[in-house]
Amino acid sequence: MSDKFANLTRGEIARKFIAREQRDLLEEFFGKGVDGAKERLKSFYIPNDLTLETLEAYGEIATRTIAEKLDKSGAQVLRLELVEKALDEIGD
Amino acid sequence: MKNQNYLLVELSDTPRFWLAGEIPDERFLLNGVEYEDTGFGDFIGFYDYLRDTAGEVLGVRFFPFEDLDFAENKINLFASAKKDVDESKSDDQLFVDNKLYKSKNGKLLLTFLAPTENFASDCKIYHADFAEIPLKVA
Repeated sequence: MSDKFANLTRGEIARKFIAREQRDLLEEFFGKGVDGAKERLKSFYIPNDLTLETLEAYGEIATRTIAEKLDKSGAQVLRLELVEKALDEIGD
Repeated sequence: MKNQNYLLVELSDTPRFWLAGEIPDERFLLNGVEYEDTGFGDFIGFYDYLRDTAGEVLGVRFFPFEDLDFAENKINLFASAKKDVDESKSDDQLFVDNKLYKSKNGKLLLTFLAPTENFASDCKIYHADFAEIPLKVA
């Protein structure tokens, strides 16, 4: 992920890079919990207007959440997989 | 019946739960206590509704971001005396409409997007009536 997040906390990344309307799009993209993320992986699409910057920012938050062993259910691992897939598609 | 879109939880050893139709303003009175927005925004961590095997909501589990400086990185807030959480039904990882308010005497209050399911029958949930803050006259 990008260096622009290096000196920021997860909260600062959320406030600085993920606007309210983008969060609604992330929720649409991820669905609810583990089942929602699995479903999106099966029927993959990226909501219109979900930006590269939002995906990168959420990916950084998810990565740190996983690293701190706070993702007991595995929902963040699945969301990170979705983010990486979306970044690949947008980058193509 | 008014819409109950948001859940408010006052943090204490026995947390108190309210449902509200709207997210509170920057400052408000609730149950005689004046709260003020701490300014961390409304994406301050992740949260899961804690459900039993029947899908009834027993409480909420909050994973605060490090900015908030909470002593724990996971806080279980039960509205029910029942604690038999089914983890497979308690993995929402929601992250919207989640704000932190603080009173002058240090009471903390969190907001969450309300669950779509019913709370367990023994849960004590109040309806939040926000009072206007009276003007101070010198």
